Amino acid sequence: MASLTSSEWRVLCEKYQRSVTLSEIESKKDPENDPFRSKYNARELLKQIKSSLGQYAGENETEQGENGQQQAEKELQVEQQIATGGDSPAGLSAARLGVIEYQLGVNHTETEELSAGEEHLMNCIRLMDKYEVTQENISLFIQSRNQIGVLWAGRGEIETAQGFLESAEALYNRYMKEDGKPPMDPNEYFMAEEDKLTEQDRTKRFEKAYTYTLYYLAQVYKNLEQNDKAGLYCHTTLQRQLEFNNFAPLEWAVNAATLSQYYITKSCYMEGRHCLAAASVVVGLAGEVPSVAAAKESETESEKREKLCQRKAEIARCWIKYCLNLINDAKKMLEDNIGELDADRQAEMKVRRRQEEEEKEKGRKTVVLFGSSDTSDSILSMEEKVSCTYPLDFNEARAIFLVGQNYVNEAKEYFQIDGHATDHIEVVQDHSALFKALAFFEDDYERCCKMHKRRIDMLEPICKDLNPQYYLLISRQLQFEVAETYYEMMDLKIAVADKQEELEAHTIRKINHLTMSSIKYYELFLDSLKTPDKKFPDKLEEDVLRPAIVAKFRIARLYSRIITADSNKQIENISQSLEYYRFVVDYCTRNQDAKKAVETELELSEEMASLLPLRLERLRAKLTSVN
Amino acid sequence: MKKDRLEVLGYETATTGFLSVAYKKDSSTSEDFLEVDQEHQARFSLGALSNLAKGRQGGEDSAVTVAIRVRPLNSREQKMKAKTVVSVSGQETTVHPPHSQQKFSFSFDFSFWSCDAQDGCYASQETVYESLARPLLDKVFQGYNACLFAYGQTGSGKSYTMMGYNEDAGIIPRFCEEIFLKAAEVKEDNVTCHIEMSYFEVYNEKLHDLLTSDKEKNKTKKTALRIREHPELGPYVAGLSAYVVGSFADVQAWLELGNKQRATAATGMNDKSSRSHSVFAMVATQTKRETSDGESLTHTMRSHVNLVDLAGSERSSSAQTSGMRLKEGASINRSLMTLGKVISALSEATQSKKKPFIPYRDSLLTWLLKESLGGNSKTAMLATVSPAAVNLEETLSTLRYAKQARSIINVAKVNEDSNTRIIRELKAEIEKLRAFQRCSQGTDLMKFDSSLHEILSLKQKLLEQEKKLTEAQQEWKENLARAEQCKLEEARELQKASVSFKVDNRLPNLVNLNEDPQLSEMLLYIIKEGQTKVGRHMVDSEYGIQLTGALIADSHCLITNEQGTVTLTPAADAETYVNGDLVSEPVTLHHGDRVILGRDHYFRFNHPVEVQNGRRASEGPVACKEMLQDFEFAKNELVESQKQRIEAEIEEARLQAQQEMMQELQTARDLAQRELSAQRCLYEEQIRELQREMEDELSMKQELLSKEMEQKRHKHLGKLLLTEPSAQELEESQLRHHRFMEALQLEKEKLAQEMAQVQQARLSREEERKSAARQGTVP
Repeated sequence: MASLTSSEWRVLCEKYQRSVTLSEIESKKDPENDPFRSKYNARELLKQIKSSLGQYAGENETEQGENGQQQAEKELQVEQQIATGGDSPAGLSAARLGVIEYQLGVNHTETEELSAGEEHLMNCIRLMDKYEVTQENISLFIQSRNQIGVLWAGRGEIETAQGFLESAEALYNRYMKEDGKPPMDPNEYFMAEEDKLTEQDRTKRFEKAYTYTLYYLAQVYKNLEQNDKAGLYCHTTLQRQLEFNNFAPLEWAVNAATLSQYYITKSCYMEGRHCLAAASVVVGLAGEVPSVAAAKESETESEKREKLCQRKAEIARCWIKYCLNLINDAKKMLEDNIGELDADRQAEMKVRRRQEEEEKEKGRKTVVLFGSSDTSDSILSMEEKVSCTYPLDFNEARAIFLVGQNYVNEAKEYFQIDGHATDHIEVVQDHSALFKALAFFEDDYERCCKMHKRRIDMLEPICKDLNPQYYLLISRQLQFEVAETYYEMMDLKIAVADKQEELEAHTIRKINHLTMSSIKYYELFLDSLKTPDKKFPDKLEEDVLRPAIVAKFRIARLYSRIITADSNKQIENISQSLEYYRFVVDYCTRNQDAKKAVETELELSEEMASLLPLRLERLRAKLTSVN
Repeated sequence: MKKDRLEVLGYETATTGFLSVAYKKDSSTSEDFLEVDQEHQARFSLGALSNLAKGRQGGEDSAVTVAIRVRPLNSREQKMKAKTVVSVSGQETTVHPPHSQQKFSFSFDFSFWSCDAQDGCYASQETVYESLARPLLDKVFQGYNACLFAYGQTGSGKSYTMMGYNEDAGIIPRFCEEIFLKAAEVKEDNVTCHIEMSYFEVYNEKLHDLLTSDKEKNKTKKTALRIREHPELGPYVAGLSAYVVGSFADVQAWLELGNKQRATAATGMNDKSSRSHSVFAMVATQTKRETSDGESLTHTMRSHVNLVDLAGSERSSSAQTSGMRLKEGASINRSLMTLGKVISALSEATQSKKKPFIPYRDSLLTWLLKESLGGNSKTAMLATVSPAAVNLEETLSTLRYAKQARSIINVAKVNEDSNTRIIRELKAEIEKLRAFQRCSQGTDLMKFDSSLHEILSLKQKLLEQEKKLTEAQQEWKENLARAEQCKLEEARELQKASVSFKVDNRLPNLVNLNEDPQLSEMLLYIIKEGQTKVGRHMVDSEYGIQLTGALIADSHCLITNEQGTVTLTPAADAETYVNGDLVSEPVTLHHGDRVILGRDHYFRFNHPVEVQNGRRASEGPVACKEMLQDFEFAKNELVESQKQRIEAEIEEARLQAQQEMMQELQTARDLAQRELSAQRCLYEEQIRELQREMEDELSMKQELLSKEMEQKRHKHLGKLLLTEPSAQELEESQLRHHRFMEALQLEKEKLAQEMAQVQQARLSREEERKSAARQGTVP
């Protein structure tokens, strides 16, 4: 085997370093009409190095050019030959070639020549597989697998990608267990001894490569719909970014906040809270928000301000969802079959919680915890500000509600109605939902009623101002919610009145006002379904079918609940009620497929439609007899 | 050299997998791929739309129409003799990969075949316009928003379809031309139509106005515009120019300017045009002037139209693509910068009902169009594909995407509260109304009204009773039969007391009644021809019927049977009651009469001969009670006549009567109805009598009759409602019996011409009703 002279070697090293610089730094400045210029230049240099290496590589003198694949196959046949130590001279020369093949592979994939990229990467993997894993080559083992994994995923061959990436993961774990010394970076094969990296740098690069392995695996699992695994790998990726200080605070924080939403949908509130607390702490690392004055001065400051404010507001919104879902989940557990607080369940849950507290502590230790030396404590103290266990009584619910409400105010500062109409309204809807959830825990009807009144106060003005031409769907949601809230208030007022001996005139007026307001908003909702020529559609779209029928059904009910001593008005109200019940019955007769969506409502409407005529008649008879 | 590589690169991206390998083997032909190079590379961000909503089903009336158009082979493909792998039949588009038996079929609202102009099925620009875009135009004039997307690989005929060339005008020019024609049409209906247009492109998530004049030419970068949302004015692009256009020519001029701008911007930029979306937006404001009552009213309707030429669909795997989130894309994002996208996608993917907040911003375009993609808008999507084998992969991916296109529609669902409470309340109300309906009608205080209802309810109950009566008769017959089978072992014991077992069908008899229904009707005393003495049980007594008990006199009474006529003669001082009345003189017994001896011996008198012969009409009232000739009735009767009223006992008796009735109902439902017709005549006669009385009394025959008709209807209804068996039903039926007992009571008293008592009963019932009414919201 001929060997390189040290000057020849130095030339090769310089070429290599140049190619790295071209590929990683200069390529970013490539013009848009020639985006891969530097990459192609880097590729040229790599090819030159490869051919030089080939010349000196003794029996490996066969051409390594375009016929690489055949070459690789030949090598495969002799694969069993040896498993030499990676630090042997043969191992070293193979590793050097491997690095070049690896770089060529990456270069081709980055310039979107996948097949060529695959060839080079496979060459690298085959070359290296003949040697034992060492501190020098482990990084190359892992990085080549990362790259080929990504490549296969790009072709939609997820299982193939998974195979390579999981083997990279296994290699890392084995190495860390058996050796664990900071390994050499592949680039160091082409570095002079004096330029070699410090252990610290080595660790950083090596761990970064492994972080990518995990990140790619997260995506692989996501694509394979193994969401739990994907979530865990995302979580670990985030943690490693933080741990090895490889992150942009703003992005990291938003990502952690987004991950919290994943946990919330799975009712994992401890993990969700942890993500959010970390997000809130890390977003603080992104620096101060430029003042309004500074933003006016410079465009960059203005953009920075905009971005920071937006991200913070978004994290606040994630917190709102956390609080809201936590209370709502508790509500679902505690409610009886008519949606009221079930005291037995409540007591039972309280007992169970005491028993579970110990297990929770244990559970906490299994969660991947975010943190670095300077963030762990802050994250912990952030977490302590809000509970992650289901609230079981009003006071517990109220504590969570208040945290949520603070975030509502924070989010609204950025998401103002003018300019961010949809976001603003969504925040207000959440605020209203928070009140609604809290009201469930309140057993005093009057106070409950006041909470619903707050909802009306925040929803009604928006509902009035919003132009349904542009915000049709959100308008409908608002109309429906306002109608329901009035209904709720009317119910509560009646419940309060029932306890009193006599109904006072102003109470009756109040109840009737609530009833009429509820009807009004249901009608507004129904109006929004009309065709441009103001006709109610013969056939409702599937997404509005149930809400529309329910609105009709509720209006029917509302009309019969208007309190009046005037028989004529009574007759009028009952007739209205009858008409709406009949609508429900008639609609379902005309559209048989609607039946299953509104089964119970239909059944009741049918009965009411058959019973109410009699009542009407009696009222009329009474009226005639009086006259 | 460098240039050559670029071409190779172009090819590589336009194809994937085995196709690129095939190219490798034939690398000398790289010149041929120059054309490909020119049309390669695009950015794709429609995928983001799919995140707006999921799972919306299409249908006849769907808000989305999806169409596919297959372009002809281009000159290069023809030169290469490229194989056509796509075919169209009806709504179906089928892909046949070469060297494979496999076929992929997709069904769309329209599948346009524009491959061969000679073909009879050839879909021209006009065909495409008329099928896809014209319906949208019609919707615009109805006040809907309209949106049309063209999607597909660069070079698959997207721009041709949207813009077209010269006489082969595409959708946009045709649409504009027609919108003005239509505007002129509606003018005749006093509608003025005012149209504004904008034209912009979205490139790299930056929005650029294509219609601003180049005032800022010195600026190297065009300022990106921001989308904002105003509550009243809707989403808008701040600073985007919008021009009022009065004619098609105006639009053409602006379009030309815009396209020029687009072309200029694209020069020197690597495929910028195919990587950007262009949006041609119009706002049509229709103002209708109407004069009513001398007042002039204006009604304004505004519709938004967005015609979108999306960036090329190829290279969807490219990681740099901004805003790209194609659902089926399996590619891996390389850079950790994209971790956010991965996490967002993960958070969105959960099957939970909860709606989390995902901070990830949808692509600019998606965001801008989100409202016009849902609600009151109509959307059409046209996917263009190439028929050539070389584009197979991309064609398949486009078709797959288009198949999901319906899911792009924005569905912000209305969430309703649970209805459980309302349902519960309503159920209670329905029960109340039903009960109300069944009980005698009306809470009115007016005498007329209440009397009227009295009759009506009586009549209704009569019908119900007829049925039960039949059943009761049957019951009685069954009891007779049962008695015949009485146990012989007990016979000897009881013979001493003259209790008979062998029943002579023709002979009249007395049957015992007991508080315990199981003991009731167990003892049968035959009244033979001649005299039967009744007295205290004593050894060697010669009495025909021997009884025990403190109140039984040694010789209590005498029963004589003379040719079927049975007469009871009580002895002095021996308490004997017939039908509740204390008797001191001989009385003739009739079938069904209750005989009570010494207060605790209850009997019912049966006379088979009388039953067989049928009864005269005058015996009706008696027969009416026949069904109730049980112990309770007899006892009740006794109490009734002895004392005026012992409330508690009546109540108890009634409850037991109800139980009895339930049993009767169950056992004797579908048996003989022989007696029914006679009964009906009887009752109708009675009712007529009652009516007549009422009529005379109130001289309001007319109203009576009409109400009666109405009543019949409800009665029918009420019966229908009774067919559901449930726990509640049981309670109801008890309630019914309760009412029924009252009605009978009433009737009896009426027959005795005791109107005063009628009214008293009614008053007490009204009390009940009032309290029932007070419980609920029924006024």
